Amino acid sequence: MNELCKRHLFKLGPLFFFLIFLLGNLHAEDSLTLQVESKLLEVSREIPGLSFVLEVEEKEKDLSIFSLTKSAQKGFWISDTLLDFRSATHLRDTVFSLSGIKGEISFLIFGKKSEKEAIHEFLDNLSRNELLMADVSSKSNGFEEGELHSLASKVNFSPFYGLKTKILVDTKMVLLVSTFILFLAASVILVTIMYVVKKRKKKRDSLTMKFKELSFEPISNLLFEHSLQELQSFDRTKFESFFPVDHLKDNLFKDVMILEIISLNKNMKGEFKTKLKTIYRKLGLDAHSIQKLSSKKWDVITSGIVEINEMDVVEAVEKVKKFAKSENFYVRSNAVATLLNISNDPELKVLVDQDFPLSRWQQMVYFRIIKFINNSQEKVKVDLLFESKNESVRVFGYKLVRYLGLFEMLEILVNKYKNASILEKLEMIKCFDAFSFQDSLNLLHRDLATADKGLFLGIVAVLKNIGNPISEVIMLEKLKSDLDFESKKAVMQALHVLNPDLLEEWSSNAKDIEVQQIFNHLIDPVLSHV
Amino acid sequence: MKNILIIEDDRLISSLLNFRLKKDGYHVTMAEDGLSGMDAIDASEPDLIITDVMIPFKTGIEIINHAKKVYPKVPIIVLSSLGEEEAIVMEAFNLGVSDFIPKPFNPNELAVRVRRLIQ
Repeated sequence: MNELCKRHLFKLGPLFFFLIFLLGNLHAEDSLTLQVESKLLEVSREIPGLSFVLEVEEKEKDLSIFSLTKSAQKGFWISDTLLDFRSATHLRDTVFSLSGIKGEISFLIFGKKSEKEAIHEFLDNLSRNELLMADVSSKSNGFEEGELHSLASKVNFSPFYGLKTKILVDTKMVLLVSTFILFLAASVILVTIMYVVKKRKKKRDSLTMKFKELSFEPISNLLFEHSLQELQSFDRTKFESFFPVDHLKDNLFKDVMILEIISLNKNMKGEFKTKLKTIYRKLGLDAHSIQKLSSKKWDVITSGIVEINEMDVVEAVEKVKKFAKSENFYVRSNAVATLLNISNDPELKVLVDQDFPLSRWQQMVYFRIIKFINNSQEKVKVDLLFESKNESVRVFGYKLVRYLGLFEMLEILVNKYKNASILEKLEMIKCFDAFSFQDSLNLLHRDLATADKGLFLGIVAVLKNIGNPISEVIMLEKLKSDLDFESKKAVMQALHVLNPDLLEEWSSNAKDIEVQQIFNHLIDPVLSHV
Repeated sequence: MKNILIIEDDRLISSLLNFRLKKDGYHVTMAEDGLSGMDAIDASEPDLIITDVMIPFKTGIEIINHAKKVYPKVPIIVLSSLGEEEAIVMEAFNLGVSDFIPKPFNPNELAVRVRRLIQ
């Protein structure tokens, strides 16, 4: 029994689903018709491109009284093309009420008969583009329909009338518009700032030129019309009488004066230098330079330090010391240079205490100052630099030994060599080389075992110049070990200089092809210098 | 009155020399670059020329060349901070320069040399 039921169920199952599908389809079709018709009824006026025809199936009765025409298709009556859906429904209802026959309304898009789906889509498109608006049929806001129509007729047709509201509702559009406004505002602000800055700079430049012109004559007058003794005896008021009184309190004028005095100080020599410094101090420009050290701007501080350095304002040493460990490279470099120059400290304490590594540029600047102090004033105590906690300062100290010819420091270097870093050792061996310091050979021989290739090559280069027979033997032993090409070449070059016969003898017996090639290269008179 | 032409781009130095030489009774003409310097040589008929080596638009050597073509007997003093540039100094002397004063210099010393050369 159950089996039979199951079989029937299997047979009837698909039929059941097909029925449900049909019902659903019919329901969907009815729903679509309803949607289309209700939408068309909402719009009482004509819709461009859309028209209607009433079709009535009747074989016996004469329906011409309803202005229907007999169709070529037998038993069908059709109306004229109607542009208004209400008229079509009205005609359908009239035919039905008077004859009892229900007609069907056919839809035409641009004169072509179309299905309901197409009509639905057509109406949707019109709605989306805001070309199809529901009519206001009832009384609203106290206006009658007719009044509204007459009012609306006075307004020009604008299909995108909702644009303003749409922009405000659309978040992306609001963001876009805001960004554009922000960009525009930022551009205007930027251009304004640029204009103001440029105008200020222009004004400053023209004032600078004016002040330069104003300063030429008084400075020349003071330099050539008065002796140094006279200048030193003048008080500030007397000095100020040479310059335009209105500008003397102007900071820009003071800056221009300082720059002019410094420029002349660099180009003049003899008594004129002292005269220029006297003018600088008597006019109180030294106080202006010191005042700059209190600024929050690093460039102003730097210019103040440079002025103090150029004009030897010794009393500002304590204030400049504050900047010797500044994080700003320019402030720090100039502060250290100034302290080295004017603090009269042969122990170079400012350098010993440096925390930041010294750049090559800084070393060059400091070397010039130290060389000047060493030659003209007291001998500097370079050995104190070796005790610095800063490796770059110690390395700079070893460089000074070489550059200043301080051969008496070589013994100290030998003592320090053992515990020195690779960088320090590299600098130390250059000193040993520069002074042909034979006492360092033991250290160098011992360090040939180093794993650092740079140091190894450095030592070999030094041994090439100052090596002895022991060096030759050690280097020969090194050659027998597994050296890379560059190291091998360096050692053979050194041996070729120290003892060419020994190298020739060893090379002739060597089985290493590279050794043969390097040796041939070394003895070739054309290639030996390549 | 003897006419001295100063060709120097540093306005401060040229003004200072102008002041110093006027004090000695000379008439001084100043030019700030090579081109105006050459024009001034042609126009002012100088009795002595003081020129810098490094000036805009023309080199001091070109100025010396031009001056020696126009006025072969006019003494020229070269003023320069390139004291260490031996090649330039030698070239200037080969062209017939009378004196070379390296910067920094003493204006009084320059005035003495000018007086000696003009006499």
